[in-house]
Amino acid sequence: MVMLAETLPSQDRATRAVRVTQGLAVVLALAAFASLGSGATGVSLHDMLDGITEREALILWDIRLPRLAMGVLVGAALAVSGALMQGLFRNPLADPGIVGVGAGAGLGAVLAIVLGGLLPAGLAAWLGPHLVPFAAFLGGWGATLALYRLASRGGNVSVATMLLAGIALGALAGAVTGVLIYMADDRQLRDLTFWGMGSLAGASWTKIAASLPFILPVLVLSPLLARGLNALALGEAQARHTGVDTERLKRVTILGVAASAGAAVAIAGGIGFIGIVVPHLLRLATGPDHRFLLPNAALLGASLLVMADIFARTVLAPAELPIGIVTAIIGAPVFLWILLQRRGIGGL
Amino acid sequence: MMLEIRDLSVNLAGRPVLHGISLHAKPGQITAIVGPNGSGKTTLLRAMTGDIPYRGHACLNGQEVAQAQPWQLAALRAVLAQATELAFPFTVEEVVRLGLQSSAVQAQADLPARALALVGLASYAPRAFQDLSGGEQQRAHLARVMLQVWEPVGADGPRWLFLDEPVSSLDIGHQLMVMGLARSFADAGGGVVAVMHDLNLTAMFADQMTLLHNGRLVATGSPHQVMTDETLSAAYGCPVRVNAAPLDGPWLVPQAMPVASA
Repeated sequence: MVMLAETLPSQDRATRAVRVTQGLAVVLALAAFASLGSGATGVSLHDMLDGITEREALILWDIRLPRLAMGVLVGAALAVSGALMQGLFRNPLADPGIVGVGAGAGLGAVLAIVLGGLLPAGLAAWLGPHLVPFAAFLGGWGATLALYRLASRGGNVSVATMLLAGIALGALAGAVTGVLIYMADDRQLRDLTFWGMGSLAGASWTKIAASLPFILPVLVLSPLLARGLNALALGEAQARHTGVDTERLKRVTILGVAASAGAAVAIAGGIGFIGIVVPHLLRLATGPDHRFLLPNAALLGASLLVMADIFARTVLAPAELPIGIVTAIIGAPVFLWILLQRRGIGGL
Repeated sequence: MMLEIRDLSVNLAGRPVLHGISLHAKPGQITAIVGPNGSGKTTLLRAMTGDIPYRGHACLNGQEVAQAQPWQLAALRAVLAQATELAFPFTVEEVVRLGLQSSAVQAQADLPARALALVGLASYAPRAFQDLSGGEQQRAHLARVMLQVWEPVGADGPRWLFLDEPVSSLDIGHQLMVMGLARSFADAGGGVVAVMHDLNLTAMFADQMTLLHNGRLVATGSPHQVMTDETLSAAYGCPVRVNAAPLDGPWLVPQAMPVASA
């Protein structure tokens, strides 16, 4: 019997998942070096090895490092929020960008940029640079809650309703965002343009510091939700039967999705499909166990976004491709592929 | 230490489904809940397991079910629900492991394999759960549920198995196997409460049975007491005749008699 337990597949999957974790850490490190060594100025890491000039130090510290850090943070946040949301909705097609959570977060961010001046001065000063990420978090939270209410009945999520409600929520948030943009003055418009490009180009240490309190706790603490999300795959009632407090699990997961997806949208705009591609690839490689899926999603999401960013700023150099376009070109076909695979399954 | 249901009523979507049910189930016994479709069997089971709100009392080992935390109930009882869809491509073994509680049981690494062997799925551990047939999935879920209450009697009293139509998609061989597992669990001191459709199987295995009709308790007692021509014919709305089985239990053959003669 003990022999049997040792040859069991979940052990295999666990071993493989740990190896994938190690491999992804190496990939992320390589991508980070490549990212630091490439850019519009043509300064390479090799140049810096011989002794770093003041200009090179400036490029490294003020441009490339924050951009790398933001790529890591946003990629990890998007991938983990996707994995969390898919666990919550019990469906691999749930992605914050597709079902309107990104649009809700975007609405929150635009509200903060355009109407932030109306806030009591004390509150605005207290929130400081956190204002936009906080508003995006609230917008994403509202959208996730609304979506869950609309799409679930008695603990069962209807996927068709989820996708359609997501379209409606996204359209509504987009319309209100449009009104706000119409109202915005010139300076706000410039802020909005920078924000809305779906890009890491505006990376700065301020933005990173502003979003870190929202993203880091989710990245670090999400594995604590793994057991509950695994059980949730059985259905809500069955998960509760095995001892999971499903109400609390749902509340915390929705908060986690909103915080990480919202803050990512707040600093990097709409970067799509990372949240759907990364967990799907990992499930193919090491299975759906959230204990491995969540940490590996953070690593793969970070690596993928950093690599997409290298591609985005080198392929048309010195011009830059918006990174949202790169992730969509990779991600949209994967989404369709998952959809086609599941077409035969009842209710998707 | 027992399951005590007192004056329990349930409304679902504003409609009364159960009216003032009272019954006891003892550890060491299989208690079957039977009745025609829509009589409230599954609703009663869901109230007992804490899935839905109720009025009245449902006490498991002295603890009011509605007020217990999910993890408290999970340490006390396991529930085999009617089949549901699994969301992600877990393997059979991963599904069974979901029954493992964080208590001492977790130390024994071979338990999932032993639970699978119990239900005759020893070699199925590495397979994708979604590729199994309906009956195999049901047995794998039973292995998960048995794993959750692996010791029929814990330090804090008897543990309980709640089974909702546990044999509904099984062939007769596996029906006997599953009911046999329930029997052994009860014989070892645990309590079993099962919603059953097959009255003959119920008569073979149940110590106590409760007959529901239109959300009311019609009869409760041993199979001998409950399974009479008049009681069953009235509850199921069809003429039935109960006979004595070769093994000394009551059994029935649905009668193809004209209704007028009933």
